[in-house]
Amino acid sequence: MEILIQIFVTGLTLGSMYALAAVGLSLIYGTLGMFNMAHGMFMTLGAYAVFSLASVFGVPLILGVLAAMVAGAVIGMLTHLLIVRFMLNSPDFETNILVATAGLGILLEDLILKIYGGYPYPQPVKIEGTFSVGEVNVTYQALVILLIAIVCIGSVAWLLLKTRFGRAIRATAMNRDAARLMGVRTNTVYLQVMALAGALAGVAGLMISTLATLSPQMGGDPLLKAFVICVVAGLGNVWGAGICAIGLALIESAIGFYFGVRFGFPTMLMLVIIVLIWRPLGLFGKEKVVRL
Amino acid sequence: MSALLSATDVVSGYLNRPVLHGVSIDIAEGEVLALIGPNGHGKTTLLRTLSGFLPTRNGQFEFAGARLEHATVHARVEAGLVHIPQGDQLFAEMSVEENLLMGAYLVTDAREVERRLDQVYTLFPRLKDRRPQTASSLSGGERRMVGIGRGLMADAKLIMLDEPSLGLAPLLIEQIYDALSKLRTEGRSFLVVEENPSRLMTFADRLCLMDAGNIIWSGSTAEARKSEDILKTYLGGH
Amino acid sequence: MTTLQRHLGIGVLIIAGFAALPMVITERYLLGEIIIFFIWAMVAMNWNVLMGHAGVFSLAQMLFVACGAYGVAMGVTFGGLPVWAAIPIAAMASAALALVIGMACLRLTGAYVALLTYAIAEMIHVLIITDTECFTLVRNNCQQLFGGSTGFSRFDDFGFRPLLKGNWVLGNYYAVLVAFAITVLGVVIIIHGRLGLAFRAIRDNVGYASSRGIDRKKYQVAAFAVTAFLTGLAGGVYAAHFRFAGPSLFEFSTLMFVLSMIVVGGLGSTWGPLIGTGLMMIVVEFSKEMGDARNLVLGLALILFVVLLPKGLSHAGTMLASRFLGRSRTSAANRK
Repeated sequence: MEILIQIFVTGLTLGSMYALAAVGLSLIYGTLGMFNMAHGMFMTLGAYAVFSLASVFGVPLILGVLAAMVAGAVIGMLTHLLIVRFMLNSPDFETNILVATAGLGILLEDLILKIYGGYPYPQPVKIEGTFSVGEVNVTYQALVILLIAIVCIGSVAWLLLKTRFGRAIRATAMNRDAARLMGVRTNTVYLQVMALAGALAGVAGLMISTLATLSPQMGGDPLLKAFVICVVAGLGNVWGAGICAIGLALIESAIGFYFGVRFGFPTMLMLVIIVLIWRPLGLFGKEKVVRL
Repeated sequence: MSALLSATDVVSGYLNRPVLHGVSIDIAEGEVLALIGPNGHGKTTLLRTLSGFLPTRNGQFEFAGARLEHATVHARVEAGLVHIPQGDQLFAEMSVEENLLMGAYLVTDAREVERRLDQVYTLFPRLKDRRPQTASSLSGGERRMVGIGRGLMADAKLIMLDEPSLGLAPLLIEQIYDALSKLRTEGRSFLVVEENPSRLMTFADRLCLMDAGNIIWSGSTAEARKSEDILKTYLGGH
Repeated sequence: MTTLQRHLGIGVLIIAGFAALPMVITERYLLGEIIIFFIWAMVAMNWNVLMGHAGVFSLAQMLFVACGAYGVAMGVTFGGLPVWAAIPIAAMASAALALVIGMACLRLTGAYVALLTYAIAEMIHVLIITDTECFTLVRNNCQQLFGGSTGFSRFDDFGFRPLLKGNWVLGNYYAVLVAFAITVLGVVIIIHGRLGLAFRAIRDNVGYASSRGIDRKKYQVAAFAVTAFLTGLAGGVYAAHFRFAGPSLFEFSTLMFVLSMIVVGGLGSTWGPLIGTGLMMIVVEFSKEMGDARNLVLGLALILFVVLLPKGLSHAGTMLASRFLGRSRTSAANRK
C-alpha cells in the first residue's frame, strides 16, 4: 500500500509536469503544424528567468510562476516573429521547421551556458517541508506542482473551449482558410498560440527545476518525454496529450520503482511503439482521408 | 441604386498563369447577380480574388466606398464582404452552434449574436435540433445549411455564394433557395456562382456569363430568357 | 550519357582527386582533418539520401554511427577480432538494427518518424551511460559491456603503425578513403538508379506510386537499412582511426553538426552534403577559436539556411549559374 501511494504521488507529480510541456507542444503542432524542437529550451529559459529574478529580489512562488509564464511567452512569441513567420507557407515546412527549431534549441542552450555557466544551481523559488499520507512522506512542493498544473491546464481548457479567443484558435487549427474567411487574423492566432504554449513550457521548466536543479540541459529529458506523449496521443490532440502525460508518468514511476529508474523511459518507449503499431495515428488520432 | 461592389479589369490567377484576363463586374446595393458559365473558366477564381485569397495582379476593386484590391482577407470581411466557399469548409470538430458562432467572429455585441442565431435557426429549423452535434457528423444538406448559416451570421453587406446547390438533391436545392429568397426580401446583395443556373433564373436580377476568364455577356435575367443563343449554349435550354 | 553515368563519373573524379591529394599535402595534421572530412561526409551523404530523397526524416543517424563504432570496439576488445573483420560485421549490425527500427517506425511518416527515431537513439544513449555493471576487467579497470559513460579506447587500429612507421597516417588515409569511395558510389547509384526513381515516385504521389506496385514502407525500410549499413561503415572506420568509441557520439550537438552540413550543402541534392561537410568543418574550426562559439554558429547556420536558403548552397549555385547562362543566351538572341 505504501509503495502504491509512493508510486502514485511520484507519477502524478511527474505527469503534471509532462502534461504542461506536452499540452503546449501539441497545441503548437495542432495549430501551426510544426514540431517545436526548441520547446525544451522554452522550459529551461522559464526556470532560469525565475532564478535570476529570485536571486536579485527574492520573489514568492506566485510571482515566480508568473515570471516563468512571461519568460516562456516572450521566447515563444520571438520564435514566431523571428523564424516561424517567414517559413509558414514554404514547401517542406514540416521538415524545415524541425531543423530550424532544433537549431534554435542548440543556440539557446549555448547562450544559457555562456551566461550562467554549467553549475547546477538549486531553484530558490520553492516550498520546503513535507506531510505524510499514511506512512508516506509527501513534499509540499509535489502538491504545489500538482495544483499549479491543474490550474494552468484547466485555464487553457477553459480558454480553448469557452471563449471567442479559444474558438478562433481551434478554428484555425481545423481549417486555416475557413477561419480567415470568418475574419480571423491567423497570423495573430499563431502568435497567441506560441505565447500560450511558451507560457505553459515556462511554468513546466520552473516546476522541474524545483525538483532537481537548474542546468542548461535540463529541458532535454522532459522534452523527449513530451514528444513521446504527443506521439502516443496523436500529434495535435491537446486533450489526449494531457491524459497520456499522466498515464505514462504513472507507468514510468512504477517501472522505475520496481526495476530501477534507468528502465523507466525505455519501457515507456517500448509501450509507445507497440501502441503505434496497433494505432499508427496515436490513441486519440483520427484518420485523415487522403485522396489520390 | 449606387454600386456596392465594382471590380474593374481584374487580372488574377495561380503562379504565373493568369486565369482572369481583365474581368469587370458591378453589383448595386440590394441586387442579386448570378455568375454562370462552364467549369474551369474562372468563376471560383474571381470569388477567391475578390475575397483576397488570390492577389489581384492588375485592375481595381472597390467595395462599399473603399479600395480593397490590396487589402487582407480579414480587412475585406470587416468591410462586409462575406464569402461562402465551395464545399462548405466547416470546422469539422466543432458543434453546429460553434460553427455558427465562428461566423459571427467579428460581431462583438452578444445580444446581436443571439438574435442572428435565432434568425438562422428559424431559416433552417433542422439546425436547431442538431445544435450540439459536431459538423463532421452531419449529412450533406445539413452541412450546406451550416455553411450558409455561418455566412449569414456575419455583418455582411454582400454575400458571395460559390455553388450553393453543388451535390445536393433537387428537394434540398429547393429548400436552400427558398431560404435565400427570404433573405433577398430583406434587401441583401448577393453574388451567386452556379454551374447549373436553372434555379437562378428566378432568384437573380442579373446574369453574367463567364467563359475562358472573361465576362462575355451580361444583362438582366429577363433579357437572358429572350436571348436564344445564350439559353442554348450555356443554360441548356431552360 | 545517362544522369547515373554522369554522376558516377563525377564521383570517380572526386575519389581520384582525393587519392592523389597526399602527393601535395604531407602534413599529418591536414591529412588527419581530411580523414575526419571523409567520415563526416559519409554520414552526411547517407542522411541526405534518407531525408532528402527517400523522405525518411530519421534523427537516429548518429545511433548508426555509434553502432558501427561500438561494434568495432567491442569486436576488437571482447571478441579479439582483427579490425578489418570487425568493420564489415559492425556495419552489418548497423543495418540489422536499422531494419528493426525501420519496421517499427516506418508505419508512420513525417514528424512522427523524426520524433520516434530521436527518442530511440536517446534511450539507447541513456541506457549506455547509466550502465555501471562491470562486464570484464581491462587493464585492471572496470569495463562495462557497452563501455559505460567513458566508452572504449586504446584498442587495436588498422595496424599501419608497425608497417609504415612514421607514415602510418597515410595508411589510415587510404583505408578510410576506400570506405568513402564505397559510400560515394553507393549513394550515387541509390539516388540516380531504380531505387531513387521509386523514391521520387513516392515523394511526388504516394497513392499513384502504390497503385503501380511501389510500396512506400518497403522502399523506405530498404533505404533505411542500406544507408545504415554505409553509416555504420563510417562509424567503423571512425573507431578504427581514432581507436575510440564513446557516448559523445550520441550528443545532440553532434547530430546537429551533421544536419547543418546537409542543410547548408543542399537537402535533396547529390553533391551538396560534400560541400556542406567541408564548409561546416572549416566554419566550426574558426568558431572554436573565437571563444568556443561552435554551438552558437551551428544553431545560427541551421536557422538562417532553412529560412533564407532552404535548398542549400548547391541549389543556389545551380540557380545562379542558370540565371547567368540564361541571361547570356537571351542577350545573344537580342544581338541577332
